[in-house]
Amino acid sequence: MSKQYKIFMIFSMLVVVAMMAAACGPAAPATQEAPAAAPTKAEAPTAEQPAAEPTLPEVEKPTSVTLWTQLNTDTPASARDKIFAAMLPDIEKATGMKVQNINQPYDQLDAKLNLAVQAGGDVPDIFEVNTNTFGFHYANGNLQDITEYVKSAPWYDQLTPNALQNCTGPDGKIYCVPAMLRTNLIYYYPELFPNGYPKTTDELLADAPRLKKEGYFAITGKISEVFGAQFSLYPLVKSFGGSFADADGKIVWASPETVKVVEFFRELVAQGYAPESIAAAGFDNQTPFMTGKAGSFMAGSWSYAFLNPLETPGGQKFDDGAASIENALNAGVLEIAPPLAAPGKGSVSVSDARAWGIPLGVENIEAAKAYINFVMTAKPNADLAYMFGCVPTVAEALKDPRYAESKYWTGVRSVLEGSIPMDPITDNYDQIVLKFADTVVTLVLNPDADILAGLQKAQEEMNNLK
Amino acid sequence: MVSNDTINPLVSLKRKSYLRKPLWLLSPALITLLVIQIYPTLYSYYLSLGRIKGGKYTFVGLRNYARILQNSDFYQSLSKTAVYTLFFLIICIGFGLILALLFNRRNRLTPLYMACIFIPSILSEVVSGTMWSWMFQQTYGIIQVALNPFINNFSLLSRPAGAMAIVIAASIWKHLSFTSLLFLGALQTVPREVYESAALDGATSWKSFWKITMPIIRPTMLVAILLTSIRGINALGLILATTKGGPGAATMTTAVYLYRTAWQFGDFGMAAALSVVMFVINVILAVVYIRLLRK
Amino acid sequence: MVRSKYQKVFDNIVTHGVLGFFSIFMLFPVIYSLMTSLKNKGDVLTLPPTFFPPEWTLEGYQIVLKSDLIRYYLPNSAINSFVAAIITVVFATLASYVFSRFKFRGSRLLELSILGLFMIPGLTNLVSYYRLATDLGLLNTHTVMIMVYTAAELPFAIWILRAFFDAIPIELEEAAQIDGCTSLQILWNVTLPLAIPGLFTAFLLIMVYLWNEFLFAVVLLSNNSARTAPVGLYEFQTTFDIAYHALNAASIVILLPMVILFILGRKVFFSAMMEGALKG
Repeated sequence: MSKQYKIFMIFSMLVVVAMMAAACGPAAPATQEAPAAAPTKAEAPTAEQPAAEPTLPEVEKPTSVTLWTQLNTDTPASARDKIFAAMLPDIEKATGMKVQNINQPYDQLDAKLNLAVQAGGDVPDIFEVNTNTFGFHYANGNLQDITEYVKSAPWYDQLTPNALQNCTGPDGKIYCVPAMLRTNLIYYYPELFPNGYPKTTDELLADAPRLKKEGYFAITGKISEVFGAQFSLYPLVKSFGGSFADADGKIVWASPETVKVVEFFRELVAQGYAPESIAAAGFDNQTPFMTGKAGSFMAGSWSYAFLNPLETPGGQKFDDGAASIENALNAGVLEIAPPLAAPGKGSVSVSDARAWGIPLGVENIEAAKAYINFVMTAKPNADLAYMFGCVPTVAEALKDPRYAESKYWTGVRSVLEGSIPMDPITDNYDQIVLKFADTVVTLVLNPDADILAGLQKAQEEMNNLK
Repeated sequence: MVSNDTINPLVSLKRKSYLRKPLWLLSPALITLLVIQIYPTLYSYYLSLGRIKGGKYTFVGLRNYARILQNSDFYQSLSKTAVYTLFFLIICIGFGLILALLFNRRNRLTPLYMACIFIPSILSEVVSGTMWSWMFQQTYGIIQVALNPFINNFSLLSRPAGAMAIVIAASIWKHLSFTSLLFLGALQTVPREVYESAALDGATSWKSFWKITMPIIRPTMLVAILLTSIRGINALGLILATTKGGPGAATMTTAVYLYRTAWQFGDFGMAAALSVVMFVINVILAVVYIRLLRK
Repeated sequence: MVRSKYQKVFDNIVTHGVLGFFSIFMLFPVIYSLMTSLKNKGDVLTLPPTFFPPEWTLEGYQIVLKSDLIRYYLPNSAINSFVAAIITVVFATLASYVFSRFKFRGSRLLELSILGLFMIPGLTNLVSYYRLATDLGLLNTHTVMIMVYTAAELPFAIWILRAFFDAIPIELEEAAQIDGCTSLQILWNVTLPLAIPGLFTAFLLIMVYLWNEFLFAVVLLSNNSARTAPVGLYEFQTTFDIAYHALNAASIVILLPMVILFILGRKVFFSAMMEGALKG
């Protein structure tokens, strides 16, 4: 009998589960849980946060804030993780809130937030937005309109001009707070380019056979996936005079200008001037540059955090963590340059921001604002931007010696100054940009395919979405 | 014939136990399946009729299905799925059968061979994908470098056909033991004496394979083909971990397309509609197979 | 003496040749991964690539040991897969016993419908499961993973266990029935002891499958402390700082427990396989 009883117990437990599921139903709203951690030293304003206090309305003080970032502060592995982990106690001290940081891998951050918002799950109070996917969040309505808050925030006047355009939707409302800016640029080894680095695509193609003969790729980088489309393809298309989308968001990439871009990459791959991994998924493309097998690297200001250890063609090694790039620059064996330009045209760089957003469904808004107000003060802003390889948006933070005096950052800032944001594609952003990357990769790898026809087909399809 | 008689012992029990069929023993499994399998699936199918934005569901009727049918990516993914599944199926079944026949000869080393061939199937798809993409990494992958002189430094992982071949090879590598064990199970039911007497009658091994083995493993063949093609059609983890559907969309099978639609594009309505379409394809295939092979 | 001696030798060569070839084909990626995991960061990227590490080191494993893989991911995987496999086997045993021994109106249809669940693509329930988990307040818990896993693996478990029960002779049960035992007593006292190799095999197969499960885990778990090993590895793979020796070391660490499990259970498992655990 007892055995029967045991099995019956399991069975009845299941019934309970089943009834719970039926009772809650799909329509039950998500409950925002707020861990009841006691605030420690809630009333301890610090020197770093002088302006944040007055803007907080005198409502109940929030006790905790939950973040979703790419940084693992649980078990910090990279230098970025460690810096942020060390910063958390400061944030807790300054805001009097318990900070719970949950790391998400970079390629799942957006998907996870989208699922959480759309399916009514646990959304974080603060979400790390990469504004290259701002269109995705805007289209799905994942972020709250925070226009009023931003315009009255203490750091508003300090923001870099135009930084906000990265967070502004087509409806003119602001959905996130840009904390730092990044841009694409080129790293190269001057020892392989004794006559200077080529400014345009045809100059590079003219110089490439020499490098090939010496056993080097002229250039590497990534043209695949959304990432490649944004930072490698789009700037070059713009430089040639083409565009992804017009002002209304209609796709217009099937143009002779884009054809020239595809032809350029086709030539690079066909002649072996660039490794074929520029077309593959992932980041294998960076290894030829990191090991001194490629002369230059289409990348961005953020890459300095990842390009280590670095070994130059001459065999010099830089294995100093995130400082490797800076050290190589100071040693004169590495240089940065603006992105390649079309023949006879100016170089175009594209910028985007890392920003803080408040997801739809968050009720703990005061906590989110308190967090943002703190990280937008000079020191945290500078620290955070630095670890991501970005330029801070707060004017005061730019006076930080790391930015003001460094050769690298001066170079980055000069490239960033002339940079433009992505074309306004809002609905189906990821799908459209990925389609572009996929189309270009396919055309680059198939030397016989008709480029314009291929682009045309993809364009029509994307314009017929919805 | 053989199977029917041995598999249905219930014939003898039937009458006596008529009053005491403990059908309630089915309930844990059935309730689990109802609550955690059927109900969510029906809910997904309901989602396929709508669009979710900002956490709100709007009913759009069959528009998601219309969008799928108008989408060239979908048709392209179907053809990739067909290529992938066809190669995967034929090679898995062919080699699986050969391996099973060889296992069935039983020599001293058989257990060792079985263990070796079994190992890939206990690896995670992510681990397998990591291993395979690493072997074919363009600059440092050991197989890529070994092959370089023969293929003119053609980076396999970066080329559409090469990437597809790698993905297929990796999938076969991972699933081959399953089909071979399936066939081995069926071969075990053939008594040794049957072969011996056939051999005495002068039948060649080729002939005895077709006359004796094939009819007996025919039901297993059906199951193997069915399960392998369903696996092929729904395969996802290994493709994602090896190529992510790339380069371009070269290895974007319908399952990967579904993953991208749901996860990357956040288009849950269309993703749900796609999963309905895939389910229908699976069912049609199953019916066709059963019709063809039952004969 | 139909076959000549030469033919027998030839047959043996073919058998060992083919099986040997396949064994190497199957093992090569694993061994290569093992070798890569024992290289140091620099030796991973040498040209031409070497198979054996020029210098044997545990550097990769040191990185892995310090990561969340050991701290969270492996224990999570262990709990989820073990508990779910146990529950699945228990439920499936009860169900497949009934299917094997009793015929009732619609039993065949019911069985076929359960097998038909195989045909639902795994991704179908992505949003539904997330919602179910949210509504039950079970996001990021072991409970929801175990529930989902149990449901996902039940059809497979019922399918293989059914074959095992079919292979167990019925006469003993009939005798017990005459003695007046209830069907549950018969199952527990008479049939189950005979079915243990089958149950173990089913458990092993399901445990391994769930240990490696990726899709549901990646969707339903957003907290770092709840993640499972394959999800953790996927993250390893997708971060910018690719360290191949660590990546391969992590792969080896993840597969090791399963290999050990199979080595321990190899006798039961392979004899069950040789007798045809997976049957039509």
